Amino acid sequence: MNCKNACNITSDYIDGCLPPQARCEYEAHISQCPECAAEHDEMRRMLSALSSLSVRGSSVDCWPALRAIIVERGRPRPVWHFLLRPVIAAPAAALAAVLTVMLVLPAQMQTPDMSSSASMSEYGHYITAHARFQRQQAFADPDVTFVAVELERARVAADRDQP
Amino acid sequence: MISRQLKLALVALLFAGPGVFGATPGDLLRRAEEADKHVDYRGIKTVTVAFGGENAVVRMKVVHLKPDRTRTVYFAPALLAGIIVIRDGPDGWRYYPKEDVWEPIGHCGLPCGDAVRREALRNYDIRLVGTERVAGREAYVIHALPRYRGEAAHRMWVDQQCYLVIGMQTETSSGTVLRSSRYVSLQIDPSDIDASLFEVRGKIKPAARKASAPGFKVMKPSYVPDGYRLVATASLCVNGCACSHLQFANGVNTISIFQHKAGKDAPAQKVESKVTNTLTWTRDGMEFTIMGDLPRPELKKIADSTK
Repeated sequence: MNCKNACNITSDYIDGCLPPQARCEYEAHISQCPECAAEHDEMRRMLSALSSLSVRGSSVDCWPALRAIIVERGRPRPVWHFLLRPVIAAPAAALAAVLTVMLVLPAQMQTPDMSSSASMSEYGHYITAHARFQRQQAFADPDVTFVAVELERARVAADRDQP
Repeated sequence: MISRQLKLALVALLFAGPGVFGATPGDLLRRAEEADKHVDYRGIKTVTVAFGGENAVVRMKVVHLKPDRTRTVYFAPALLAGIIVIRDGPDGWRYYPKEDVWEPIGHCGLPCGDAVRREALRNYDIRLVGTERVAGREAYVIHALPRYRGEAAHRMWVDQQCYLVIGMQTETSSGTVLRSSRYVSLQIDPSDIDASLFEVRGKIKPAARKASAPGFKVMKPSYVPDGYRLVATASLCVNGCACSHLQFANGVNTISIFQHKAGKDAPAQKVESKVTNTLTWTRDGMEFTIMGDLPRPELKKIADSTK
């Protein structure tokens, strides 16, 4: 037996839990090893000191309160108690919020449906007015804005003439 | 020694700035704007416009008689060939060869003026960047770089002798050219321009009905991009309906918001703009259309705030 094995079984030896073979080997080791013998003595002293401590009862009687809790948990609960459990309540609240956004808010906010196109009959007026306004700015060439508008008008007219 | 002289010259150039060319960019802009009042000219001009993913190149002849009469005849492409535009002061007419008729195009728009120029100088870093030869003439090159993101940059070529604008270019921040115009040949003060060129002869379409007050509460956006402000509100008559036109500008670029009462008829045939960004939507019984050379998310932001 080496020191490591002896150290591991010191507590079992003091408690009288070792088989006879191991007990003999342990006793043979501590008779020859002063370090393990010192550890054995230390352990025995500590356990002896612990066993001499007196046992004190609690000054407060906890049992009635514990009993009340056990009785309360064991009683059957109404359905709404089940619904209020976080596992159920959180997804339900999220679902309600989504339904509100989908059904109620669009009616109130009327989020506009934006498209990049204007009515053909109005577009000619708009692009002409926009170009006339653009021509009044710095770095504006009236011929460039005019060309852009004319190309648009010609394209729109060609689209309109198509069957 | 040479390197010292070179350094001195560079320092002098830095301190002199645009003064070496005789005028500040602001002065040049003003002189360019007023040049038409002081010179007659005749020239061939090409205009290139990004149109539906392609570049349309348009060729035209421009004849100008000071102070404010201009005749433009379109040669190419075939789509526009034969169209004539005459501007006489604030009035303008357009001739369509297909219909053989002149159509009044109304007020042609006043030149930009001091207030617009100041606004442009506030919202753009306008610099004189050098000189170049255009149509055989020496020109100052002015560059306008936007101070706010999302705006296009502009370049202008101004004749060194008469300050006539002989070239213009609009480009994205990445350098892609959106539109440009440039004279390919130009005669300054030719003595043979006939005044009869600016007369409108032939059939003239009746002028469009004058617009009345809109008759509804005009909704305004609570958001416009940095540098823009509401500069005017106008009324249009569109298909017999009163339509309001809100005009926002930053001195160079413009945003238009059109609004009128939405019709109860079936949705009309729609057309998508190929020359500028456009958004159309309806809200609270009104139909709105916004136009401007801005990224679409910016237009949408303005649209969302129009209530």
